[in-house]
Amino acid sequence: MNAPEAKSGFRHVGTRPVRPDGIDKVTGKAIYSPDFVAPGMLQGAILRSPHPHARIRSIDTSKAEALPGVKAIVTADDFPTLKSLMVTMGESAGNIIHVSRKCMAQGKVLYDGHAVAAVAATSAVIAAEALKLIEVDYEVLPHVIDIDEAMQPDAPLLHEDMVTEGVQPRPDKPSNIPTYVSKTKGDVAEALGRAAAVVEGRYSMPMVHQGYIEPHACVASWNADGQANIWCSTQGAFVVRMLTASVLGISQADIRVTPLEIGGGFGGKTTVYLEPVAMLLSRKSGRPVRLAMTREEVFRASGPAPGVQIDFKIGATADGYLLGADLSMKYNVGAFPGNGVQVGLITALYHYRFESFAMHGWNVVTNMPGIHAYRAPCAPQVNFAVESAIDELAYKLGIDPIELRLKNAVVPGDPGFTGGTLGEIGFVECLEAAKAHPHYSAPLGPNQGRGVAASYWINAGGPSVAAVSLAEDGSVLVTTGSPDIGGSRASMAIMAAETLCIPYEKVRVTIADTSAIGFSMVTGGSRTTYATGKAVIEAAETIISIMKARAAGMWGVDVADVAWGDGEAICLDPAKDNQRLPIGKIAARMNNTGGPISAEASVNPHDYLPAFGVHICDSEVDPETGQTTIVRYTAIQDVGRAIHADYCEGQIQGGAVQGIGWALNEAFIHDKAGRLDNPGFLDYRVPVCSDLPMIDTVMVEKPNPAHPFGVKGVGEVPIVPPLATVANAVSRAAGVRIRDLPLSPDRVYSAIKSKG
Amino acid sequence: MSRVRIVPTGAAAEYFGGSGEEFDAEAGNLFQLVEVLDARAPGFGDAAGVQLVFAVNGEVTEDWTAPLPERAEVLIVTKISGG
Repeated sequence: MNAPEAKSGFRHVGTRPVRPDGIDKVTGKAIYSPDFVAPGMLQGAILRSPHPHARIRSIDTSKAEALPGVKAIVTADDFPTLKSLMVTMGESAGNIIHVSRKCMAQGKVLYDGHAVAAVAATSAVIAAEALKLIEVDYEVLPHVIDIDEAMQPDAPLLHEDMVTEGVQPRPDKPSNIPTYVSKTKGDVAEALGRAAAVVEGRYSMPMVHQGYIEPHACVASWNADGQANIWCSTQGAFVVRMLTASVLGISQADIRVTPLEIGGGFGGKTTVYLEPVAMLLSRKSGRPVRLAMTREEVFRASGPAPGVQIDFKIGATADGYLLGADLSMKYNVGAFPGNGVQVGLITALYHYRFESFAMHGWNVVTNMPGIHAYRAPCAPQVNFAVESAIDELAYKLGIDPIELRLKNAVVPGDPGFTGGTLGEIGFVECLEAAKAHPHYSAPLGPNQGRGVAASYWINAGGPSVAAVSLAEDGSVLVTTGSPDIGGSRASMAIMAAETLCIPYEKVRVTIADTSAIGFSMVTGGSRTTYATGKAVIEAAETIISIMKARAAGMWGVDVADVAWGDGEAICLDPAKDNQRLPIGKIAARMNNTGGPISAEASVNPHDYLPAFGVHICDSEVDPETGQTTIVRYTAIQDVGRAIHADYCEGQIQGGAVQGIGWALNEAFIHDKAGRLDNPGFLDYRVPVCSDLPMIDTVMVEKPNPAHPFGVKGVGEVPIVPPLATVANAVSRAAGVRIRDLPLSPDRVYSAIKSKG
Repeated sequence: MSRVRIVPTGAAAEYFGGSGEEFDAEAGNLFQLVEVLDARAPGFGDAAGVQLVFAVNGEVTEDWTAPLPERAEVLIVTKISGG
């Protein structure tokens, strides 16, 4: 690691330089949101509902207000009444009323942990004591957690005004089903009728949480003149600004959001839960206020990934060509309508050439926290069903599972989900790399099984702004509005250094606050290295143009006679004897040649390409206990071109580990009263280093021709295949197909016993 | 002015009867098309660009000033989020 590994034709791209933020992070100097302190800051705390579903009859805060040290109390009454309005949230959209209700319950609580009041006090102890003095009169209502129960006509209704969209005729009664979607191609019944082999099954998995180590936290300071500062942990400072302003009904320009270091987000930090509450507490108290969730609050009150129930039927010819797929998906989206099944529809089947398919999907609301994005949001769930069934089909037909996938894999020129043709994708190359990998042919031990699965993620583009400027000594400052959640400081520095032909160490990258640079969409969707990278490259190219013009002026030649290479202007005028001006000399004279040298680029690219991954897993199942051990794991992925090789591999490893956690351990467990039973890392078991072998990675590089360095998104697709990869491996090891996650020891043991 | 085929899906279909039925419209670019569709389904204009995205002949198109090709297929899909 960290050994330079220059690729032919590149100076820096593909190398492994030391990360610029590394020392601060490993020495504890980096400032994360729970660390931030503002002068005169108060400590906030939030009172949360113990009921999953209840009407709030009244809230009496008088005793809490009388407690010495309490400076402000906020309830729903302090929030402005909002009109229903869809607002852009990162790459997708959401209703601002729902955003507001996730910050503070209004009229009803919809899940265990829903916020009902907040306090700001001079100490955390006083704030906690004040919460105990707030009296909430609840009318407890029947609750519903299960997908099937929530879909029943007589189920307790979460939203009395919600009718199903996408159904004709439009229902005249409300239900817990906000959305129905469908997509069909050809006659699937006829196609399945011709199939030599058919596999059919019901697959399920529970809600799971991103499990970021750093909890949600912020400090807000709202001045009497209306101007405010927010310091927080976020994947998108601009989305925090927009949502906070929209929830509070104030001007975006009045809020300056500074993104601090982020201790994990994985999609879960692209919205607000605390910031509007902290703002209101600050306005009432006249002082900065910190709010920080505990681990328990993170689990009970922030957005997890949906649980699903999926019915899938798939058929193929005797030689393994896929004929038809019949897919019914139900996504548990928690307390508020969300984009669950819509993504399932897009990501379920488009990596294979199906002759025909029928897809139907429903989002279902339940008394659980409203879902939010989690790495390739909503794709792993449906991929688990599809790739498990593909595996069964291969087994049934006696065809190697990679071979079956190769027969059906999409290639450049095939249609994507929008109907357009797929560009330079590398799915077949990934499958070939998996087939050729020594792991795939290595012998297995007793009670071991090998699984394989494949997937894709659409990736994203979108708006980004970057600025590049020269210091007087020729070193370079890059500023972006994209929070660094996975190494973007390093990748931006590499791309700037590559463009300018200068050493990597001469470039330093800053993540700006919302008042210091123009709008950038969230860091998510696997868009940042691609889109913000394009902005950095474009700004650096403008800097080169300016420097060539300045050098031309210094030499007294036409700018057309100046070239750029090796970090120097090169004079092409024969009379000047091939003179050179290094960047440092141009920078030293910049105020004698026209002033500071800086450039800003604003981009909105959409020529991104989807990413494909193929994973291989060896598992060992203890037949006496059902305990599964991951023995070996290899993740192969088309990365386009790796900018910082370590970070690419790290993203692949991190995604694989999170997916293994979904497969083996992770689940939201509710008691009969609808309360979350495992809101902590002792009982909600994410994998740790000692649980797993080293995740081997293979980076297949098929560059994106639309990016100057060939970038494709990397961070999300690696979480998609592990669920089915592990399930397929465990099914082979246990000798029985298990279609429900997680593959906990009791479930695996029961399956082994039930087969006899 | 081009005649284009509108393919509304998901939340977009709700604005046009909910069935997802395809129909034709005339517009020079996406700005004009949004205006035409908003006249047909009031409120569509507010959702376009916030909740919905356009794919013209299969390519996601954010530049609404680009001329629409004659007989282009305009697929309207719900925006989705990444993580």
